[in-house]
Amino acid sequence: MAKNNDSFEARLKAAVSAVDVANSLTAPLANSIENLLRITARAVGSDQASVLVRDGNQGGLRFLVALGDVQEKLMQVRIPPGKGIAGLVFSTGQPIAVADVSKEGSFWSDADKHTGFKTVTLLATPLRAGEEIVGVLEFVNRPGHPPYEPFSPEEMDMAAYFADAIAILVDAHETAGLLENFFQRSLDTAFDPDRDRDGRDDVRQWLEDVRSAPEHRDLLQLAISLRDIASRGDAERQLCQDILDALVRWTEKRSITDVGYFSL
Amino acid sequence: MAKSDAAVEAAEEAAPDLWAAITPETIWTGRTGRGVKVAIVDSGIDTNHPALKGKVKESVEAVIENGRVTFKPSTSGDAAGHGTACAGIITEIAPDAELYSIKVLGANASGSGEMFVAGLDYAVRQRMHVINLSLGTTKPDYYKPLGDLLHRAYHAGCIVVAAANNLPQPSYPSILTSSLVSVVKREGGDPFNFGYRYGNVIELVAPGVQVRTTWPGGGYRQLTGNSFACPCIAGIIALIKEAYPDLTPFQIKTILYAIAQRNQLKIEQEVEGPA
Repeated sequence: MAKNNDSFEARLKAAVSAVDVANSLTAPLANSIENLLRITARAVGSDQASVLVRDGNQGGLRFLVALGDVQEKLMQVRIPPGKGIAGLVFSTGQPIAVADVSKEGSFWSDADKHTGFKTVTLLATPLRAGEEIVGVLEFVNRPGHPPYEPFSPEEMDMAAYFADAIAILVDAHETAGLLENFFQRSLDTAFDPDRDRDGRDDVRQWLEDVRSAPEHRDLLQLAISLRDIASRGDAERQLCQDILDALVRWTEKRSITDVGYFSL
Repeated sequence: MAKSDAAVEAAEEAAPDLWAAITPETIWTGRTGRGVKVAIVDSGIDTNHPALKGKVKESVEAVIENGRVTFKPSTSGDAAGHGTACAGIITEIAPDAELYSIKVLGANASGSGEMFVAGLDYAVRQRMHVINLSLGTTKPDYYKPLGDLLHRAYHAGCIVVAAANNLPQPSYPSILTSSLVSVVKREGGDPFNFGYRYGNVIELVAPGVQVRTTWPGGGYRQLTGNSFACPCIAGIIALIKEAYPDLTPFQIKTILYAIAQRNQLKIEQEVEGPA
């Protein structure tokens, strides 16, 4: 019985520490994307802006961040593969501006139907991180009332420059999201579903306490800084690896067994 | 032994003046692109659009079978709209050109680089006269396969027209300038008033801002992007090929260069006013 408890405790420690890190990675990245999107929208001359990211493996898109009147409704919209201007930009890799989608012919307007918003003029730019298209940056309409001035080639170029910076954040966010899923699965596996709920609630409360610890935030900041440096190239990544290896060897020599707040 | 100056002058006088011979009247006035095969490697074409009915001779789409990309007849139209928009611009300039839709993007073709390369390969094997590529990839892995394909296209007499990347990154194949005609957008409504920027990676500039063109479902859109400057040049090349079917890609580029210089001169004269 004692052996089983020890095993559970070990699994629990591993799982909760992992989940804690993952949850804390996505939130600041999403905030950064939103802040940069706000600045970009001002520069481009639109107050309805959004960042769309891959939804599944078939080329569909979903909204990651949206600004404007219908942002909450937009977050529920899924764009099927190849549909809409955003889908088009995602698949061709080319930015496109449409002067007035309401004037003539058809437009994939399920997003408008869902939100009650009326798209008139829009600009969409692919988000490229390295060699991959990771999403689409989209601006809809202008401040005020129609008719709206169509987006100009200069605004298209401006959006492209901001898109580079946003794409890096989006790529990091999506990577963090994958980690979250991975760690969530680890957590699910670690917890025996037959165990009593009170035990799990205790653990979650403990997690909340850990998250609020200032030294924990410092460590997360360190992790993010390391990730930034490592993402600059192979040499930087190797340097980070060497430093961490050296640190591990140093700590082993000092025979530190208690790692602070990771101890239960 | 070197020829004397007099002999050189005499030879030059006897030879036809290529530059003087290249005028809109000799190149495209009265031309409609008849008999010229233009491939659009894109998201498909809405063949039921009133402006495109009867102009699309064949539609195929990329599918993966047994791990390989193959092409089968397509009836799925164009859910995205991009290919239909390009087709509308080409037919506006060359209304009798024969369009061939090679679908590598869209709901049934997720748009992988592999499909894109296969689409270009298909167009070259079909000996298309003009191949419109309003799309590209930034993946360096495709640099060599696309380069090899473009060499094959050049030797087969297929003229490839590619849209430049709008973003501050190189995209393939548009930067492989020596083997194709690369195009970037500019404002202006007259498709024949294009420019040439010899020495730049992307050589041609053509109207691509708020271009009114066909859209799936029978409608029209006003679109901005390099994607829509590219078919403008593809349409003009279709007219040139009708006039002179045996011209090589190199000769076509020379003609475009000559006409663009004339256009530039005209603009400068308009700005400066009469001497």
